[in-house]
Amino acid sequence: MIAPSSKRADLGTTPAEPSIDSASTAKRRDLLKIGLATVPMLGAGSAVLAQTSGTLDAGDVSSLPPSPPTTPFAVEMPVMPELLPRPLTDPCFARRPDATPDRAINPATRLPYEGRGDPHQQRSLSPPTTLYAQRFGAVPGFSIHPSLPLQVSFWGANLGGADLSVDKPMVPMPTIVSRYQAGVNTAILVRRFNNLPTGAPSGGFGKNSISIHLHNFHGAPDSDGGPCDPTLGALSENPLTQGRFFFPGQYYDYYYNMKRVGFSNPATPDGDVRQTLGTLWYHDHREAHTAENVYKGLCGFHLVFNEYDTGNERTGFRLPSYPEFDIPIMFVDMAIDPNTYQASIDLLQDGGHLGDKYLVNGKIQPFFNVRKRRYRFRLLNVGPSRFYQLYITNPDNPAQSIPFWRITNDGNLYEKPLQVTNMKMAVAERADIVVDFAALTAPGGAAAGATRLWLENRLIQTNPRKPETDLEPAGTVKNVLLEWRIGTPAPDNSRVLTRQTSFAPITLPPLPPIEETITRHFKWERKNGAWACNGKFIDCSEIRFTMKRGRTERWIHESGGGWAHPIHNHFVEGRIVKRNGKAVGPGSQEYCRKDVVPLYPGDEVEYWVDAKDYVGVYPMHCHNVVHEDYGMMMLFRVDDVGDTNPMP
Amino acid sequence: MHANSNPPVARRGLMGALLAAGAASLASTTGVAQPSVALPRSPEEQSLARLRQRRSPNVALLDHNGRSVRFYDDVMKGRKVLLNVMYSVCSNVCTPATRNLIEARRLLGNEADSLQFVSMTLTPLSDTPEALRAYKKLHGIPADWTFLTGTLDNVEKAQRALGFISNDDTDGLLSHSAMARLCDERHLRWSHVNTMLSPRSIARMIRFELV
Repeated sequence: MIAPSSKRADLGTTPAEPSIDSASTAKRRDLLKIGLATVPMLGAGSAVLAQTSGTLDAGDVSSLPPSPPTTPFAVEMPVMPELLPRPLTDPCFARRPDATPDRAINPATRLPYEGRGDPHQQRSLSPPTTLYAQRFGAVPGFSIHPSLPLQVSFWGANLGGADLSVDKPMVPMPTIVSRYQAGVNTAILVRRFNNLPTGAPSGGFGKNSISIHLHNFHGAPDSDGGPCDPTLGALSENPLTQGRFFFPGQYYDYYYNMKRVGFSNPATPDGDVRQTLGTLWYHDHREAHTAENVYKGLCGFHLVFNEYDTGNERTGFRLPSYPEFDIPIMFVDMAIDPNTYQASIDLLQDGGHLGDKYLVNGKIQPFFNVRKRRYRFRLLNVGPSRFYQLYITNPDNPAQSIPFWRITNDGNLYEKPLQVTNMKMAVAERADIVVDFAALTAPGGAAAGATRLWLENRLIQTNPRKPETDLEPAGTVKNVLLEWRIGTPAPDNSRVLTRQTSFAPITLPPLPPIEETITRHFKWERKNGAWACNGKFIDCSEIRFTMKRGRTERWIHESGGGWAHPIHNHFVEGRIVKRNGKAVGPGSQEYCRKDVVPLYPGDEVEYWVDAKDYVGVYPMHCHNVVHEDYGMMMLFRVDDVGDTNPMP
Repeated sequence: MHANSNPPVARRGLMGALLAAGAASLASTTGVAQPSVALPRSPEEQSLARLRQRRSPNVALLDHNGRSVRFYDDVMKGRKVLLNVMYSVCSNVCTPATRNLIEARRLLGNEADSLQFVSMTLTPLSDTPEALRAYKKLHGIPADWTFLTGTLDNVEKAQRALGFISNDDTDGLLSHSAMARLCDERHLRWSHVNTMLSPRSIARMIRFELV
């Protein structure tokens, strides 16, 4: 599909490419010379809008043909199984899971047994008490929709069994569930084996060396799952020994202490309860290949319960019980090749990827049976590039405005739940919501009499680099992620949420005085056919700035050139204090700790953040993972000295 | 289909020599040629074969010696290739990009032996084979580094498939000049290398991508 430039020009909102060199004057002349100015235009937008059967607008800059039509709600949404622990005596731990990496050479691969390059930091404070294993491999023929042939291009992980023909790799990957418990050591270790196939990757995309990031966790670089780390010295220069990603035949032990921020302070060995994390996810972070690997299936949920958010609706905050009524839901917008009926992605388009089929927990536009009671849904926008604005719609009465409770942002509980009718979600953002199907459908309820409800994305996006600001009308079947089918009433011991409900002691720590902070500016922009921050691209041998442990930094994020970027920093979690000059306060869906800072075109966002406990090197990057792969990432360090570089 | 080794680009000149009169003689050449071998049978293999051709359309191009080459058959097929775009009168990023790549290749030493370096002009009308030869000489570019030009249509087809020409019309012609594509075509592995990084970092990236 070729860009219908006339259509875009008519919109009158297309920003100009930032002028970064003397090229701008030469541009038009050279375009004419090469003949681009005469490219024929296709009326892609209107043609796609006219389609039925749940085909989204794939975008006027997509190079992918439209997916074959599919019937919505043809299959029930599955829920990912939970990864279960294994004893130390399990054969998968025959090589001991020590703090020191297992760098002995495996004669079978001539590589170190373990891909990890550095010891687990501060592991002796909380040695792992629960062990897990996962094996990453090709997913056998997998149905995403009853009318499509089995998918053969996915990679996933299994439940840890040694025989992949019995314990098969799956997508989405199994859910890991762990726990904060003050005074108790709940640390875990996940041993991940790479059993991915070698040779040409199925479907023509996917890199079989992987680094598994636990998104949002407060962990050391050894277990963060970053792309690269130049401080590993000579090791880091050799792809076979670099210490972060690992190859087929290798494993990698990821250690998570399950302590909140501040645990290394002897006065607070359990950390600061206000910094409790809840809905995390794990996904591949291979340098330059994250988009294709996550798209290929390498993503899963990691949930963390605690003394208050217990997972049991009879205790603590009494939120709906896991797993029956607490349902993780991840969504990807996928393109299906109409020739092969297989998932496809154009790796060579650096703007991003927009698919035209919502894949929700691995199925195209599924339904999900619920009872009349409260549910907690943990929503995750996997990307790779699309922005969402989600509504609950009654398809039989789309005019109804249907409220629900949003209780978290990026997996962090709000101080109080927010009643909302819609929410924006950039790539990698999470939103836990509570939907009361009994109250909504009761006589006088907002969706009185409804027998089904839709989770619908009404945000228009035709360019993978940014969404529009306009919405599609409610009740448009192609925009539906999921149909809830509402059954009979069921007992409900979860609490009724109100505006007065409090999630104390999980509250927002106060901000320090501004005089005690330092300020850094980050301009996220397009440059030289790629994506840059402050004019520079990711360089794995360069650490761009250093945070001093314990000091708060004000980061001013700016989106250049009119594009949108969800900015994610590893390890440190902060707060959006201002958006475009306006303070973000109670009542805002962003009034929360966050690890993703969504930048919409022209935005300037002030984000306060500090680093505690661990030292080392972490990345920050755009979580439009195509932009990340094409340069929009940098490395930063945490130590006890720090620097004050105002524009790293 | 990819087990047989292919002769290097520079040796595929016999047929092309007949057309060596220059770009004008190619003006009427059809765009995408059929693959030179039969498609394999299994649906999966067929789809991968289509994907190979989509990423590297088999258009007719001219190398810097004026020899005709087919982009997929003669340049890409089964090879490890680093591809970038440039034009010979470029006054901004092309020159440092070229310098960085030359130095990165030197740093890689033997590790670059399996890698074919290919540069494709963004301005094929003015960048004749002669102009490209002059550019190579001016910048001291090694002899086995192939430069490509051709008709407007064919060059554009190849560059668009490779993502060098953005489908977003707010991107200018020159905006892609810093991103090289790195391809292990036999294994269908595609990546990219930013030529604005230091030669050392470029060399590292190439090394990391070729494992």
